[in-house]
Amino acid sequence: MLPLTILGGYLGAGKTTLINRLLANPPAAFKGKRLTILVNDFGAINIDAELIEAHDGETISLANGCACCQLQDDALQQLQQLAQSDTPPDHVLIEASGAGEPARLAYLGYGIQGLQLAGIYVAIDATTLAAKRRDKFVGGLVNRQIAQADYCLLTKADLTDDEGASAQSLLASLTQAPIARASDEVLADMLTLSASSALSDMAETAPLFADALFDTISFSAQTPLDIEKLAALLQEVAPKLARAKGHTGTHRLQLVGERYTLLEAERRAPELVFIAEKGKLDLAALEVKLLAVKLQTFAT
Amino acid sequence: MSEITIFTARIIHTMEPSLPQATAIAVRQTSEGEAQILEVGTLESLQPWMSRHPHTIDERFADKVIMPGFIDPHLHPSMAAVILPMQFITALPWDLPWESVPATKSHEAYLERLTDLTQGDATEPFFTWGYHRNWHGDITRKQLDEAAPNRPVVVWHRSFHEVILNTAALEHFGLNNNEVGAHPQIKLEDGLFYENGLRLAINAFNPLIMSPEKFGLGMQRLKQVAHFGGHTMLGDMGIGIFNFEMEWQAALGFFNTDDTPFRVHYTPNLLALAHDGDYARVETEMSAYPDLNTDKLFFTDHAKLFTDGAFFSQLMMVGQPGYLDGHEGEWMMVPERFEEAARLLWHKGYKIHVHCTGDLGLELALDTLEKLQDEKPRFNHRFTIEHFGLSTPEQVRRMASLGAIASVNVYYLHELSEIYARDAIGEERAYSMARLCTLKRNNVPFALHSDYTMAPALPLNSAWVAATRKNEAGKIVGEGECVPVYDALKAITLDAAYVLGLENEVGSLRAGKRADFTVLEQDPFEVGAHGLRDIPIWGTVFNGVPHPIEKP
Repeated sequence: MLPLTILGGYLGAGKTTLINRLLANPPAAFKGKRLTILVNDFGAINIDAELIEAHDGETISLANGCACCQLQDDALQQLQQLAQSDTPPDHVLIEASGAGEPARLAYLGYGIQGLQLAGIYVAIDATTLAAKRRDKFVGGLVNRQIAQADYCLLTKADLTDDEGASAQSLLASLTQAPIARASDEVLADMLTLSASSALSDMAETAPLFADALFDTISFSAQTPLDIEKLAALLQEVAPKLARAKGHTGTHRLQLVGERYTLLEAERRAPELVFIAEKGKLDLAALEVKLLAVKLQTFAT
Repeated sequence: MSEITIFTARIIHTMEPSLPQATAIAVRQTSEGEAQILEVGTLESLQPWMSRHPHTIDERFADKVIMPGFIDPHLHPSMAAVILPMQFITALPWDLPWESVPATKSHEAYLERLTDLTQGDATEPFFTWGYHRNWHGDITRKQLDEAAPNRPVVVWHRSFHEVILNTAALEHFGLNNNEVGAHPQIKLEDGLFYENGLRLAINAFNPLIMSPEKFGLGMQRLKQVAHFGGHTMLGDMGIGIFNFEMEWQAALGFFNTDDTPFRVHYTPNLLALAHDGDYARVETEMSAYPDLNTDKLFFTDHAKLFTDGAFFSQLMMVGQPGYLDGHEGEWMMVPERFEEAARLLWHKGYKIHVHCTGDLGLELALDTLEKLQDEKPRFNHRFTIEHFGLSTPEQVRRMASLGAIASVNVYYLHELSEIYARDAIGEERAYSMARLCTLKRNNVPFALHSDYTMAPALPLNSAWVAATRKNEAGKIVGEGECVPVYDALKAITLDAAYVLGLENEVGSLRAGKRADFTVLEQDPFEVGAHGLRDIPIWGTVFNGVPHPIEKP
């Protein structure tokens, strides 16, 4: 399966800067592998001439094995060709239009054999977030882009007065997705994450598709869950889950693409949601296991 | 010098305030092969010409009514050419040159009509356009299989955003399980493909619907449609929508011919032409397009931009309090990109046309225009709001103060006001779509257009909606926005010419303008607002030559 990562974010959020960085200097974890990036604005790509092996119209091939192409009107066909090529790359990254919703590109990826969605990353400009999300014209769009992110990349934090702290806390109030500064480590994550997850978040906004694609169970309890037992269970089922989130009673759970975090939080009644691609996980069995965690909690 | 022809008529409505009515019009070919109006008046008043020059008096219109040739300033020939070869099955009646399509308003009636039309031995895929859930309910693959068990059937939605296929069509186009996988925007069991899923289906249809035979048939049919509506001038409001070269070659092949009784003004679609977002490069290319001009097909100095999404798909950006269901529309160009493109064109002196459907889309266009006026004041700039679906009276005052004008798809009101009152934005706003009389009260010039096939390319039908505001449910809605018959007719003649910057050549009948007329069997001022759409059209006079509409 060829993994597909979507990189979204509003105009000026720094998508092109991230892409230039990825192309010129791929993360160590990705050494020796071939990355193809489809970009919206080919003209903005800026790479040292010495790294370029071939430059042919709307494709740049680099000596390090990476390539960068202009995203065509018929992105579908372009992706099909990549997925079905005799020498497919190891990973594809698409830059979503700043004017668009990244989840739409994710849908596009769904129609193609051999392609698997690896996640939606959304770049967010720390200097403009507060204003943009209230902008009379694009506030709704910016908020939807954030809502569709599996992972938020906060950019330009160094240009703010507080190193991005207020932007980060604002962002944290808007999304449950992990938020990170655009570091090399995060860029490496973009290219290694292997499970699709983003579409599960569309369940609320677009139940029409989500129902057909995902199974969901909600779980609630009166008393906090045993965090170690829950962790053991998560360890076991994480590879089969698309997404999990909620509160364990003592911790906030966040699971995206096989990885989960449990962060200590204010105490409240446990409430968890588990989402898996249809048929991938026996949710009834998971429910029984969760119930077991709950009972053991009572026992202790 | 060629001979003068004098056409006489029961009445000639010139749309010129200084001489509104006449009974004779003198026409002569110039050395450039262009037929020019020498004078409008009566056989007596034309004597000074007649006594000096050889002439003939043509009385064939003696019992008819002559108007300036009708102008549709906004349609899309290439898109229409894709749709027109398809069979129309529509909720509202469509009067086509080759067929009067009846109204099909229910689920049962839809399936019955589809069954009738797909009977027989034909095996080629049957494409139909016009299906709409609001009237026809959910149509599924299973129902299509029952209606047409053997013939491939493709049902294309009114808005173009979805298709439904029967089993035979899925097989014919190879859209089987393997190919379409588990795409979230395809429901294979229902045969439904939409948005990105639709693109998969279109890839499979393309070889057929874009084939020279089909597309050529579509272009021929569009030519018939244009003549049938009484047009002598069309505005292609956005060449480049598919592929500039292909569209221009098709135009040369089908419209640049002796038998074409109209001219076409072309406005390049900057958004579509700038695939890579390089507006400056495209502007340079656009500035050379007038070199391609022929007698019939021509560019001037217009360019097309977009703010918000399609009105028929509820993708217009609606200001507070938004849509009933809380969804949001979509930007075709986000504010920064729109402003960048508009600034480039404004400073280069273009006449800018902006597709604006919702009031928030209009707000963006006006905010931008205000900035540009501050940077570089321009007069007579013809910044045109295209479509003008939703608006506020305050925005109209602002249009007036900034010098913006409008080209309006008033048919939205006819087809959508009832549905949108119920399902999209509530009655108050739905009934005030296309607020034409507010434009008139603020002295903002406006044209009417069809955006064919968004509305029928029948200018008298558009004028009828403008003057009556009668919707498909038979209700008069937003009565305070009705315009007088005179203004409705001006919007399909002189002000339509004004929107295209062609008011010195066409749009009214007076000395020096081109001899392009539309000939009617009845007088629109006698039949009044409610009779406008039923006026029979005899045909046109294009470039001085009569072109009757062939009756089937």
